Amino acid sequence: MDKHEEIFNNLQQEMKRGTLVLAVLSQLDKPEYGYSLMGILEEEGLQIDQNTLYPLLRRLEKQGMLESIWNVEGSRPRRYYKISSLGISVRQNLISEWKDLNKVIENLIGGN
Amino acid sequence: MIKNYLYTVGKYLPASQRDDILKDLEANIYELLEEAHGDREYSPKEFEDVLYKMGNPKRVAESYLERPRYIIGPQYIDLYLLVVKVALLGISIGLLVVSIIKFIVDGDLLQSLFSLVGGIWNAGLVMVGIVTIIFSLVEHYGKEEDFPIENEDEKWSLDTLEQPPEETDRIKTSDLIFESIFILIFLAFLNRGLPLTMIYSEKAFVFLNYEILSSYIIWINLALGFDLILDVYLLIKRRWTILTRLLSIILDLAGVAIIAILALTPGLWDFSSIPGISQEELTGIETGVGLGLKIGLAAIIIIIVIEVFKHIRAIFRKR
Repeated sequence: MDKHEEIFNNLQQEMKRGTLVLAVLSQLDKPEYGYSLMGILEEEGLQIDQNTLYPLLRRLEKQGMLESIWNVEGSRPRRYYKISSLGISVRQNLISEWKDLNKVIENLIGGN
Repeated sequence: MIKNYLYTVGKYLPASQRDDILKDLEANIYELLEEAHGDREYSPKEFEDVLYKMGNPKRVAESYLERPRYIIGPQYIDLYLLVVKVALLGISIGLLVVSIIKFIVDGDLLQSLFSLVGGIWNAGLVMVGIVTIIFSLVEHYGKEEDFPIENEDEKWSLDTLEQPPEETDRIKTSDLIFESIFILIFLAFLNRGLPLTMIYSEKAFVFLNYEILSSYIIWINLALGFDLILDVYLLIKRRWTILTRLLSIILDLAGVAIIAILALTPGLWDFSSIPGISQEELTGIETGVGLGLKIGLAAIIIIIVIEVFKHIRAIFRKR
């Protein structure tokens, strides 16, 4: 890996990491389990590693932005996550923040 | 296979969260299997593939930890490494001196060499262990108090900032570390009966009359013990204050008194154990050592007077 590629990969990862919370919160109005959420995000073009997604879901739950229930109906127990009321209000703020930021960056980079 | 994987991941997780995270992780692994192969019994190869897909157990565990766990964190690691280096150097020098004395007394080079290597190994291990324990305790208990950034962010104001110490109040870390290590080594020799002093040596104090010395040992221990506590405190605080300067002056004066007693008490130094020594030679050595001790004492008094003067000047400047 040359230097350009290495620096770019790191910065790209950092950039993506900042948007993951909003991406996850945006898709959890109805309950999803980890793998299904990963599939939904991938379909929309957002690749996310399971070792990033699963710990993130736990963290968001700990912060009160997600609620989880164990579904034991199938042969194996599955943990489903759904956005909480706190998560919904935080998501609202994040969305407007994202739009503002997007505008600012668009202006800054201009026609580049 | 999954059991082994979960067990290995669990080794890197804190006990308080281990069961919960592993329950999650097990469910995640079966999710991956089910999505890939449907709901059925899985072959060992399929298990193997999915575990490789999950990744290195250590990395997986780390991804669940909110912050890295340290025994000694970045804040103290440089100081820790410096202390360990100085401690090992100090021990090596101290034991080299002991071995030379032993060699002069016994004349057995091989024995002295073996005891030097063995002594450095034992004392080095004990010293590194003690230093590591002290630093890990400082890391564990000292962090939040020093820099309460996480939960008291909003209370932050310009008034809460620490002032950098003035040039004269800055402590010289390396001096303090050297001093602490030599105090530790000296205490270890002095209290040779203590089981923890691995650098115990019967021959090291062969030139001191232990019967006379024993009545002073408690005072030497007290003075050096307080010196050591003050040094460690200064190493953590990294600055002189009026109080620590006053304490240092008291300890310096106590130190001079003790050194004067050691140098001037008649009969404390006893060289009669040197093999084959004649009375004439003994008198010569005693006169020479007596003179040397007095010159040494005078030099130490001058150094300490300068130190005390520096402290007093700094205290008055501050006022």
